[in-house]
Amino acid sequence: MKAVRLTMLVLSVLFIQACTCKTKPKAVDNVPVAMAGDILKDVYFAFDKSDLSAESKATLQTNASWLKENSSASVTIEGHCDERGTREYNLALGQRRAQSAFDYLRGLGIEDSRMSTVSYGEDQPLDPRSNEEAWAVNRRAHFRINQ
Amino acid sequence: MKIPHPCRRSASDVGFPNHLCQEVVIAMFRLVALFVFFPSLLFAQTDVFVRGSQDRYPIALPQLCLQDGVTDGNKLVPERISRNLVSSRYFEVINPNAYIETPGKCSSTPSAFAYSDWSVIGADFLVKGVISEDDDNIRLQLYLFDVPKQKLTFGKEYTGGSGQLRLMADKFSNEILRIFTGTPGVFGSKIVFTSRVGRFKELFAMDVDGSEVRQLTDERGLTIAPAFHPSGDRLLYTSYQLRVPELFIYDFGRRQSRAITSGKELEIGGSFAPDGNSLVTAVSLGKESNLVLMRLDGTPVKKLTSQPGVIDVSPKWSPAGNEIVFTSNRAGGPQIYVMDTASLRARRVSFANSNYCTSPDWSPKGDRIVFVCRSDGGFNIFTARPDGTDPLQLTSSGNNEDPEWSPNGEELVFATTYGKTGAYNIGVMRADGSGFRLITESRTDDADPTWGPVPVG
Repeated sequence: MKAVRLTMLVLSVLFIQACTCKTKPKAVDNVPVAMAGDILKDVYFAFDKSDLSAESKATLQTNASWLKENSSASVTIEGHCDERGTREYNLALGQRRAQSAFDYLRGLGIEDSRMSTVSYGEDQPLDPRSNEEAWAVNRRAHFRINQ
Repeated sequence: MKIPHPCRRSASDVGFPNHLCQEVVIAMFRLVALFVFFPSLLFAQTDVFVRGSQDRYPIALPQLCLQDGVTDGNKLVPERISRNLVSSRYFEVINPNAYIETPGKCSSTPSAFAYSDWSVIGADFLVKGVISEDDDNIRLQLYLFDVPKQKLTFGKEYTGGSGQLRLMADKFSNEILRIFTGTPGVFGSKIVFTSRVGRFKELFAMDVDGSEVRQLTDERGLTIAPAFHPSGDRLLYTSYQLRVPELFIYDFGRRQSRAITSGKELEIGGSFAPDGNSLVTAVSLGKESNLVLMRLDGTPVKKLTSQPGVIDVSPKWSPAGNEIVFTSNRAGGPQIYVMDTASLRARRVSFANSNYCTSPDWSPKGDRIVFVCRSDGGFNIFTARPDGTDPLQLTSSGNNEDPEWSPNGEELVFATTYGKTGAYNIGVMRADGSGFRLITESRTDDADPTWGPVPVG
């Protein structure tokens, strides 16, 4: 009996302990996940902004190099927002973000015909959680290589 | 120190009987541990949402007298009216188990009953009636009585097919609301909203109390920004079916959708004109989003805004049809503007001490607009006069977005994270912020609601 009670105690503690562990952000199934293995990296934006930071520009330069080396590849640039704010405003903002990346890549010599843009607004977050960490990775332009 | 075990281990032990005791003790331990690790659970949400107390009128709704024929309307009609009145938050329905009068008792005239039967159980108001059926045709008479004054307040007769029982009950409920609030109720109208289905978003419809939820679209994609046509027979919405957001019309009668725009530009949301003969939408290309007036088939008629590099979005008409309220970031961050559709001149109308205000809607009464501003660490709902004066903050907890007025301008429907699930759910409240009530309680982010008109006929 004592062993059973002790096991129950330990199990209860473990059960609750599991809930307090920080869980890794899970991708919403089938939504493109920017992972270490992704060829083209995401660029990130500040809240309600679509201008590119120095870091974003550096990422875009790397992306542009790959696109130049793989001249047959075409890419869809997706603009995304975090979940806060109005859906419709975020759709337009996402479009601006995609366009910012498009314009910069074009400035680096990538042809218009190889790129297209789309905005998903707040509706396809990379990280579905509701906190600053998740919001920061959701405010992004994502580069989807078309087959 | 050995803590005595509360469960008996043997017949001679002192304590609770063993067989259930172990489970109870473990459950209690888990409960305590839960509060130790999650202290916030101990504290209920104390932010007060409902402003002002509202005494509810006690009302009794007994079974109707079934005079002729066969129909369960004698029970369904008072049940439906009860549900409606309770959801209005103005009434409290007295439990039928307390009623003294024989259920369904028929009398020679509608007023031939004992008021004392009703005053003694605490009813201030009473609905009684007579129903008869003949070859599937219904004749329904309903009466509202004031019990303390011992008089008939009003009565109505309805005729129609048995399929119209619910419509008749809704109409009478709307009349009751008119007597008590001065404005007819909106029972029978529908709310359409978006909800996540797997990784997609689809459109759903429901009654104003959250019942009768049904899925409208099955596009297996992102289906968003629904807006009712003033006739209530169709919806404008935005879908990614054609790769980029385009406008679609969903027809309730045919249960079908068709695209009305296509091409490289993104069309995002919008709304129908009050006369139902045109629509305005936001067209996004490159870094701009402009308001464009369109015919119902998607043919562009006129560009209403054209500031380079500016996001103009979320247009809604005034009930008079000569002004449009919308969101614009022409001054830096998004704010609310009102434009005169003839001169196209726009002026800012959001002055809520916030650098981010979006999502406006114009009350059908014409005298107020509603919008959302970032404030108090979240997003909250504000109303103001259409010129921006008299701003009032109506919510202060969680994220509250996508507000729309009810068709009689008395209530607001919106999406809120306030509630148990933490996801977005649909809530309603009165125009002054009182009477808040969640009408969905899911984990699938119910949002983006639009409130349709009260059905006629």
